[in-house]
Amino acid sequence: MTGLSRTGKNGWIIASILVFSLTFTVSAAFGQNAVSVIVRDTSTRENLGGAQVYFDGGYSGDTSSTNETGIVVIPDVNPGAHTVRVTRPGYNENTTKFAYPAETTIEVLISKEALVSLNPDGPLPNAINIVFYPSSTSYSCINNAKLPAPDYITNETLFRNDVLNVINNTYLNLDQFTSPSNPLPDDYRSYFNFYYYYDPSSPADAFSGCSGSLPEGYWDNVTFSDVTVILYPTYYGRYANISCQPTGCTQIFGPGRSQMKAPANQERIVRLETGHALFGLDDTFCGDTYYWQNDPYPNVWSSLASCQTDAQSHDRDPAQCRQIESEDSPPSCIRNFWQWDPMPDVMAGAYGGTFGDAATQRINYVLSQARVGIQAQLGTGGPSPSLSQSGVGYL
Amino acid sequence: MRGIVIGCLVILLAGILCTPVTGTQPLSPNYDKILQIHLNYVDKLYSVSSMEVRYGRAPNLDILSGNLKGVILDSNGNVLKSFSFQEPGTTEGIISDPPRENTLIGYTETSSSGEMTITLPYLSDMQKFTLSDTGDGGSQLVSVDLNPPVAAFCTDYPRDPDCLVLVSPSTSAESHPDTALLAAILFSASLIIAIGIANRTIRRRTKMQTSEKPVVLIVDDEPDIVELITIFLRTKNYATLNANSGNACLDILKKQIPDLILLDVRMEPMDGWQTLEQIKKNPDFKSIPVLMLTGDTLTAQRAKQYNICMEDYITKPFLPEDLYTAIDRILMRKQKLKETLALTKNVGIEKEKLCEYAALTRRISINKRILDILRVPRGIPEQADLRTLDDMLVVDYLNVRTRDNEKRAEQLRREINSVLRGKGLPELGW
Repeated sequence: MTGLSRTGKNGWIIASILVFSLTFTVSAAFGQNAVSVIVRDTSTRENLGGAQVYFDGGYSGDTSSTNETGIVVIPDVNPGAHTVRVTRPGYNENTTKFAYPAETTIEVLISKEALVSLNPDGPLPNAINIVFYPSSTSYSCINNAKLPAPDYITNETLFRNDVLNVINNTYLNLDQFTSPSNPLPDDYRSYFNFYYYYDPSSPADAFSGCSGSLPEGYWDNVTFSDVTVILYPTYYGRYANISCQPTGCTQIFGPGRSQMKAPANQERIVRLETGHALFGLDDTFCGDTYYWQNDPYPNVWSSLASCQTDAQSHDRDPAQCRQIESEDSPPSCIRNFWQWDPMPDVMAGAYGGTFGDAATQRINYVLSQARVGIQAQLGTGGPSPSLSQSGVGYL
Repeated sequence: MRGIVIGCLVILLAGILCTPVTGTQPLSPNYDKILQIHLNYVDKLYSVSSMEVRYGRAPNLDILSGNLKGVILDSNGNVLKSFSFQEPGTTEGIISDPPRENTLIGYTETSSSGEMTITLPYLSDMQKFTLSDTGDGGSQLVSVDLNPPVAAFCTDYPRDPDCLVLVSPSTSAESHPDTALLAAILFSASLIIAIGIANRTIRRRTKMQTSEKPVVLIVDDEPDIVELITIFLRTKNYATLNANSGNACLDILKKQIPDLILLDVRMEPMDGWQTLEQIKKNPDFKSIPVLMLTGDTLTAQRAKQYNICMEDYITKPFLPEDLYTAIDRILMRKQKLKETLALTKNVGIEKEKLCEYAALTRRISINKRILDILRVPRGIPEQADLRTLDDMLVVDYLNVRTRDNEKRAEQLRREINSVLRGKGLPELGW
């Protein structure tokens, strides 16, 4: 090249074009500068077909369509640092960096993912994603102490059945616990994607922090969860002792990081915590809890006037607006917030009741928002009722 | 000349047509991506601790509501996505109420400090994210430039379709098998045209190094490399100066101050690192940004020794786009500071504060680049990780420094923006 440059700029340019052209032609014809990507299962070390391979972010092919299962050959790799990303349904994706030409064969190990979809036809794009996570701890009403609960981490079937039970008796029968004056859409059940995450080696601890704690790495693997439910096994001993009642809790750490905990056998608590975590509903009892006017379609207002105006505009009786206060007389607890929904209200204590008109209106709002997203994705008149509308599809 | 170019094009097309096809039609490639913004909050003051674009699915933002409002803006300032969500730190729980049978009472704790992560879907042309508190009169809590995380992602995944949109189509050859041929032809044709333009430019070279064009000093002892980089840079309207050694570089600097120095590491007798030391020792030269260019891997020790001196580090061989991106990033930073200084003159913002902010953002950006380079490729066996304890300490050191710098920069940004808002001026966009 140095010699050529001395002969003049034109010579250099022509030589560059020639070298480039010939290099490209030769490399193309003889498959030079190629890198082989071998995709294997982490535990069995067997080559895996059906994996999609991306080179530097661009799709390169899948490991079933080549002559040798598990291998994709990437041609025309330039010297330098590169990335290979491998995805496969049911597996965690893996991205590997490598340097070419130092490495010409790249082995990418992928492991089975812990996330299990419970939708019979698979997840629906833009639907509401609820992920259940098993807790390895529960609470003993005999000792009044947290204790290890191996139930779920040693028995996936038990956990799965408990999850299905909760789904069927809370999320899929919401219409039985909401106000008939604001009926839910007929196909509301199909607005949900349900999953459970099962990795017995790293369970959640429902009794570490108010809403429990999830293992590090969970949020990295599950970025799309709208609500993550830490489900814990039934308390040990009986609930007869009033000082030992099952608890629930919701905490939100930003969009995609809402978590709640609830006991598997207390559907009322699941309902109440879902009211917080998914539907953004406020508690309506008087106590040490967090109140705010949860617009739009609130179930708690920051003034009587707001409550009454809202009631009027939604054909509800404004006279039912009342301050949040305890039932004793004179009330030992009064808050500067107002509610409309009659008792027994799910959001008033989890011991029964239904979601009132106001709460149901908000539930409908959230479902309608989800529906818009699903419709936008499907480009049709709405989600197809692929899930059972009777709620038995998950059993 | 024309005949030769046409001949070359024919050879090139023949080569393309001979390219063996591997794989078949793709099975719905999955390019879903998210942007994650990690924030720290203390008493409703939010600061960004890190941001990243990665592959993954986003949660459903449309079903959320709350006092905090997030907005994603495009390059024209239009809203791409707007959503509301609940402020973090609030806990709503139920516990038993022993005095009253069958009654549960509420349990709440509001943590005034902690961490929050905002997971957003990746959107084309996303440029800025703002977070405001609608319950507090709409005061802006966070405003961040989304270009750095997008650029970092595209460094690792240059062939991702969203990255191909951001750069020239010449790098898109392998992104889709069904478009590979077209992309390869476009690539070849555009390369030939580019070289043709470069050739004409060289032939017409007279007095083009005017002061209006940014001047880049290329320091490399390999004339071919200098020649090649010169062609690349001139097609992008940069003026260039050349030096074939460290000493020649220092001689040129005595006569002319360039906007940027591209410095090769492997030179004799004075290597690139020694030249860098000499440049930074001289008060007249020390403010010139230096971009290191080398075939060697950056070691942790070198990174620690020189991270405060260099602006970026590019490994040969490199794509022209890598070079343009790095140069643009450095020169844009300089330009933005200049513009902001002019804009904020006489509005009550101390120049020192603005300069400290600029220096910190520069340092954060460089440290992140260095940390990216030092990061060990994932998936390699443990025994292949040859990093020493010292290397890891350097990485830790850089991480800690970066976090400290980010906290201070965020504090300064808020103070500066608060003044700018008060004066009705646009807030810092960098």
